[in-house]
Amino acid sequence: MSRRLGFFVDASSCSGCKACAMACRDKNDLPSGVRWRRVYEIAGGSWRREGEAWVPELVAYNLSIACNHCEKPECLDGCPSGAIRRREDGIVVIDRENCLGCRYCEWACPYGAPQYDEEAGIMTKCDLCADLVDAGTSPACVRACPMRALDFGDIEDLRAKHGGTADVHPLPPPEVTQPSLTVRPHRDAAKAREKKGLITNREET
Amino acid sequence: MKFREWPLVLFTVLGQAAAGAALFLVLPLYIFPDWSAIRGVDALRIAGPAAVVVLLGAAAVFSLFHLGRPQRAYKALAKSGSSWLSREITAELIFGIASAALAALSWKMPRSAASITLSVLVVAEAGAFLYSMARIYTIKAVPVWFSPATPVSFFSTALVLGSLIGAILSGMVGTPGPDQARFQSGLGGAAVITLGVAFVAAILYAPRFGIFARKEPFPVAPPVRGLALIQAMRLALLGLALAFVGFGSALVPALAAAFVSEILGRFVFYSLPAGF
Repeated sequence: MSRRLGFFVDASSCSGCKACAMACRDKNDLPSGVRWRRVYEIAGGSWRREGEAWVPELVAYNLSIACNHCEKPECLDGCPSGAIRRREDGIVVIDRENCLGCRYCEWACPYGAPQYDEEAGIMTKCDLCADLVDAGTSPACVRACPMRALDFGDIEDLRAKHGGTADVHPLPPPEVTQPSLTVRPHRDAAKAREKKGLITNREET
Repeated sequence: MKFREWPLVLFTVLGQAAAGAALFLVLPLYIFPDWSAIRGVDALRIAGPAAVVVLLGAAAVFSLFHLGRPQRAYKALAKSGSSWLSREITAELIFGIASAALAALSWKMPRSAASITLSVLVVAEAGAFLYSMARIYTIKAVPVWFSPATPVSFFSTALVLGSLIGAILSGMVGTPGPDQARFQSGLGGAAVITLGVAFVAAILYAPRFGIFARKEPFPVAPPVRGLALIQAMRLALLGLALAFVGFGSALVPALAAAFVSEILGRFVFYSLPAGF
């Protein structure tokens, strides 16, 4: 079976420091507003009455997400110019010379991975630091994480090593695109789905 | 947040109006034998496809404003084997070229076998254009669009604007007489029906706000404020257009009200995806 590279995210230990997003921005020289890796802050819940007391029933955690280099990438299938393609190792990349900037991939991707570069007039996205991977090292985000909450590699190896799931609130159902992503959920993740926890830092993501 | 989809709002509404106009002006005049023999409507055989070309041309110009690199627009034709967006542009191109050829042919040979064949192609491409446009937006990644509400609203726009444009054009062009009056009254009747159907469809199937519309299964952001009010204004304008046609045969004000209503409806449509 062919190799399929992807990410592991340990949401149970992510502190939300955003070093991964900064390292990505720095390594790829991303313009303002283009965010290949985003750290979502999820929060929700309410107060619950226990006798005479009101106790907080809150959820709060962070989730670091980039392109998941999906098995069934909707961005690739929908691209009208063929600018999006998949490498043999599973990395989904955008050919800058062929992109017309129609932004269809922005809608088609349920993870918000394709990001529009206003100045260049084209779509861009995480290429899993393909140059670093080809050179035998790790993506910038993985190397920058002080909590060691990120890992990358063949998705089957990552699942065997870390376990996890891609069905974590508030990510969309993984059946849609079959992402090369496995997440060790935060302890609040199940409750966040039940309590309809929202992304609270949308201006950053 | 800044709304940046105005070019697409205009592209889709004008493109659907063109497809609707082809349905109401090309189909009856060329395809139904009884209608193709009536007198006084030969000029419509030119004006109908010409109006389609004008609407499609305007739609195409607006669509370019949506692209980050409009000079690469031709590349959108590259993946018609797999991409619905590519298929839509291909269908639009053939639809426009066939309509222009039909208008030119109608000038020289209005009732020839070639013009009838071309008219079949025009109507088929109008259908393909509408269908592929609806498929573009029925994507799993956007649950609020991934429902029958999307094709229903797109086809409804085409029928409403197409019937009104057809009724207005049939009154402006051609030789006045009983045949022309009969044709215009037929299209006016069609406009009443399509407006009525569109009104009911908007209540039942409008994306997010319709009674049977799919709700967002995994909300990740608060809904955009004010959209319900805009949707209510859309419905009111649709009702106004129906009143204009049904009670006063005031076709031009009806088209204006219906056009603004469709623009508002499409604004709501493009504002719905919450994104991730």
